[in-house]
Amino acid sequence: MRQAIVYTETVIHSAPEQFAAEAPYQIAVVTFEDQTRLLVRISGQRVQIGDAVREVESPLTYPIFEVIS
Amino acid sequence: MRPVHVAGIGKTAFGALAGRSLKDLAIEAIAACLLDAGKSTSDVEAVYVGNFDAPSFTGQNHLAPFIAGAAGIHGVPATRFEAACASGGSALFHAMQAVASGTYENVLVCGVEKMTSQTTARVAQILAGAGDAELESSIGATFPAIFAMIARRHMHQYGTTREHMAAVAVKNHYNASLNPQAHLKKVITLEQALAGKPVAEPFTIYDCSLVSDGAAALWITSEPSAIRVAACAQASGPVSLADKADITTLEATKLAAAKAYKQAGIQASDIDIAEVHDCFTIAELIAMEDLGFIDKGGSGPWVASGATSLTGSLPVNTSGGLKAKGHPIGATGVAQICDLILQMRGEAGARQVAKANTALAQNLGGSGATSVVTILQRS
Repeated sequence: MRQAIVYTETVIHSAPEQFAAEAPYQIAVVTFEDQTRLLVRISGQRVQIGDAVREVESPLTYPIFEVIS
Repeated sequence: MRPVHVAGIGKTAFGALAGRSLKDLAIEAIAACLLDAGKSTSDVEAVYVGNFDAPSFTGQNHLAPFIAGAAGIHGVPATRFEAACASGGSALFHAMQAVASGTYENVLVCGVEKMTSQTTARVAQILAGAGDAELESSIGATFPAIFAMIARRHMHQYGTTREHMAAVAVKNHYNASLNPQAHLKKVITLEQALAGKPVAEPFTIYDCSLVSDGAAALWITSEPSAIRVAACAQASGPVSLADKADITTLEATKLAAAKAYKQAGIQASDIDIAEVHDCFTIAELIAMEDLGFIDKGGSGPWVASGATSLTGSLPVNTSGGLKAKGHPIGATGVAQICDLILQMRGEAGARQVAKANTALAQNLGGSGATSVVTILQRS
């Protein structure tokens, strides 16, 4: 699975109606080795700028990443 | 291109205006504008409407002829402009082009939005539509979240603090307390701003602009009058945050500003007063840098020092800004011009600044996908 570095992040408390039941949740823009970036959902432990993260398998349509500890 | 003037302004109060419809608000702003310009509905040659999403907020589409007809303006072309939160600025930009090029002598610009009949979660959902629907809103990103991520990066790269951002909120709330037409006239302290309810970290509700109803209108004309549009420039940038090389600067604002300063033949240091797009506190700080008022990364300490207060070297958002005057999306870019003109005429009451001969407005759409920079000068 893909690995990347957290470029920026936030924890959302006030969510749109479609995601309201999941709040608070964290999203991040991550940078891949080829310098491209992607907005992803973070699962598990909260991450900060500079943290290494990897993609986790998910049945959902959007990319989900977790911290590499 | 010939000179263009703003010869009339009209604006409703901004707020959660229960019982006031979209149509009703637009009619009030247009009538006030025509009265101010000394014109009648039969003088209007075209109507340019700035509106973000009346279809989602109120169920009303085909907005421009709807509003024009309601205001008693018949037969002439009426067109809606949508550029997210820069819808009003974009309507102004295109009206300005039409008059400058000689297509029309007189264009009426009206910006309007009716937002407060929806729940907060529904509003967040509608606003998220101004981002990248496939890559951003689909994973649960909100606009506060997008700007919160910009703030995190600005803090990381330049040492900007939550206190620097809160200083924007404190200033703009104070200014709005002196503006009878503002949505919130409540003075806040730095401590209150920092301790507000979290929205998207590091933002509290005090870092975010308001959800408001309101309308504003402008009379754009080739006839010489006291206020000249010295420049009006619109530029675009990536819609998606992940596509920006550096998210601590909004390239569209820099492009629009460079073009506007060149058109007007002036520099950033010549600006006496500005209304900028403080949809979030960090957006006002970044605007200070992108508009060339302060060096990259230096906006936090500069704004916190009081440089942009009513008595500072460059008063910014003397109306209270989007933060406290309110942010009825489509009306915002038009209202910024109304507020600057009140200052330029010396009619800004308790918030009047000492010098307002050259004024700048910056109206941003999305996280920087559209930016409109307008410069006004006293003729």
